[in-house]
Amino acid sequence: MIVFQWIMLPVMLILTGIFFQKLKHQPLLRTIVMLVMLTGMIFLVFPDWSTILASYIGIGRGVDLIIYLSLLALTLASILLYLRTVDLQKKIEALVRKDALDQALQEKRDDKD
Amino acid sequence: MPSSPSNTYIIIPSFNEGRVAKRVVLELLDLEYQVILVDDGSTDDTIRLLSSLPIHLLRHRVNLGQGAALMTGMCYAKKMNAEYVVHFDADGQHDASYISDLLTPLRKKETDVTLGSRFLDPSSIQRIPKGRRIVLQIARWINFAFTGLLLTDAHNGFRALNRKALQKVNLNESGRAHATEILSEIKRCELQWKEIPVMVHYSDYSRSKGTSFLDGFQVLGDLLTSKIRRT
Repeated sequence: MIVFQWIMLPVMLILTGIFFQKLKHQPLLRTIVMLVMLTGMIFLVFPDWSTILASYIGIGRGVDLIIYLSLLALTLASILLYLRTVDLQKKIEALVRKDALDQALQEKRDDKD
Repeated sequence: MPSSPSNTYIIIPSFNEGRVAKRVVLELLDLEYQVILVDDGSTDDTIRLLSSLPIHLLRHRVNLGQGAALMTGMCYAKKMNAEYVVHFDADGQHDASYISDLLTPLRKKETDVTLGSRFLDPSSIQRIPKGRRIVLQIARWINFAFTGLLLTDAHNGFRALNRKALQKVNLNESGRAHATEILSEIKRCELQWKEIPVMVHYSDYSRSKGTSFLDGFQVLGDLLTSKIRRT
């Protein structure tokens, strides 16, 4: 193994551990992330395997296959992040609106009393 | 009396429009309407200027957008058992004297929603800046593509709803795309609608606050993402 592999492998292992811990309540996402990380580690240790797989599916170079897969993963991650942001925004919106209504109705009740 | 101004609530979303909003509110109070002003997280002196007035003042702690402020106002109006609600801008470009024109068809039970249009009266059309006229014509066709309703005007913001419409309409778009969403809601809820000629006063202030050409792209983006989210 070359120096780059010695550096990257522990980094990827640590990241895998963090994701495994953080995503314990999201089994589907955890499985997907684990598969992606495992694939990454296999290609890191055995780079030639990516070329074999790329040739098998007609892409040619292993590095191209990895770029395509990375793009796909990034796009999926962006969509998931966007959906989560929208979900959070809606929750904040509901809270702020409820607070405004409650406060106004309380003031109205106080005025009556 | 079911059609008295006291059970007609004027909903004004406001964001950093303190002084102008106060002038608008005073004009509406003179006409004896109930005013619901939703301060959408303003950082200016809106609250200080308006808190002494006899209005229903609601406060969003953070800025959410015009659509969310309108929806908060509509929820409050429902709790107040409003007969009619009117959406009105805080920047002073809507003319309060047209409110009765918007309400008349509702009071006569001819329709559920009235939508103000700047394109039904030739003298009103002349007052619209030329560039804006072109943008509005494009926007009304975009509205048609998204909602199936072809109006003479787009994104005017001056509209009135009766109690039935108030109960049924639900806005999810917190930003400016709510204006298109309301049309979708009218169609979804099978509400009767009618366009009414209104005059809009353009000032340097209202132009700086209004929807710009670039904002139009933002609205279009919001509509597209909302459509994708729902499919």
